[in-house]
Amino acid sequence: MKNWNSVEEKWREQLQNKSEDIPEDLWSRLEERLVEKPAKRFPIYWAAAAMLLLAVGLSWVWNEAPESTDQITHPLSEVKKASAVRVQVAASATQPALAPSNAREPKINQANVEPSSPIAPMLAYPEEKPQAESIVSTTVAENKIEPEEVLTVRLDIDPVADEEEVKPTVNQQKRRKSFFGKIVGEIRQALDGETVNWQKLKEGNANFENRIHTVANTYVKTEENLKRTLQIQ
Amino acid sequence: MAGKMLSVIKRYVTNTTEAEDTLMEGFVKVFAKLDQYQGGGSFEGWIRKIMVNEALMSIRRTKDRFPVDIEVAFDLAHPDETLMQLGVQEIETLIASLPTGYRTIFTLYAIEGYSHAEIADLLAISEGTSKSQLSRARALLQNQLITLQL
Repeated sequence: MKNWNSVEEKWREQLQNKSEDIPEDLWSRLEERLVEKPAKRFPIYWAAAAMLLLAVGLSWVWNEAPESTDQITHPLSEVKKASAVRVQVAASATQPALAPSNAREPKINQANVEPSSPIAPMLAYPEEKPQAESIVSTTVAENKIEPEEVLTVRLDIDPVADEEEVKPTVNQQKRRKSFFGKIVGEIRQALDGETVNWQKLKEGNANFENRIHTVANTYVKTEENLKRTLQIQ
Repeated sequence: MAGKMLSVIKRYVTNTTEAEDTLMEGFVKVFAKLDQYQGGGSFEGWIRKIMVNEALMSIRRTKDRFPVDIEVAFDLAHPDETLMQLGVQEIETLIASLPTGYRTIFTLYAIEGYSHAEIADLLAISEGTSKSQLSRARALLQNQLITLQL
């Protein structure tokens, strides 16, 4: 008596080597498919390249972001500077006989000042000459900043910016005023014939070194005093 | 070898056009996976497995699913003696008359020599289902023998 296993084994042997006629175009179709395969991969490479490019671009933009933030905050700092300058100019405008013109600026050097002059010790001081030069250069810088002052007026319209920015400016102005008074005192001391350590005055005063307008106003005041002194002579 | 593989595929995919497409897809995979052939078994056996897998994938694409779990084994009488006398063409006709699920499991087990565990793994069914489906397929073959008057 046969069982199913023996039937299936016989069938397996019979069917094992059974072969069908394959379609004639099978190999050509297969060849086409195999050629198509790499062609399909190209877009993947292109996509990968595009992704890489995009990643590089995004990282570049990402790195640029802090700079743009600086650019955004920069006008605010300009507002601070401009408002400070504006207040400073207003303060100096109250001073009588202010002569801000650079055209009439007398040439200050040791050659055209007599040794007997009260300001001779001040000019004879070795540190003084570079300072005079820096004063002149900063005055030029001050003149260059002035057009920006007009631009920042529009920003002053913003009440938030005004409230936030003007308050510290007033404090800075107070500090500058006190510092300004110190400078005036030093100049008067120089006019009286006493030796003044300008370098000491400059040391530890970031405002003196960094704030152009303070130095410029100091220069204006110095110029005024010099004129007065020369007239006296 | 291609003709032999087409014959293997046709036992699972009865539609000639679908079978030829499956054969082509199978060969594309053979060329794509050529570097994965370790040389452990026969090259023909390796290709045959790829073709069977491709045929099963083709069935999955066209049919809904393989048979639901029926774990009832049929008590079969001993097979008819006529089954032993059938020729190749008659055997193929008889197997092709089975519904897809039964045909697939019967072919995998009886013709390709897969175990029930392997069939269960391939078709994502239980071993019990594979066994019960085989029993049912055998019973149907016996009935078909009479119906088809082979």
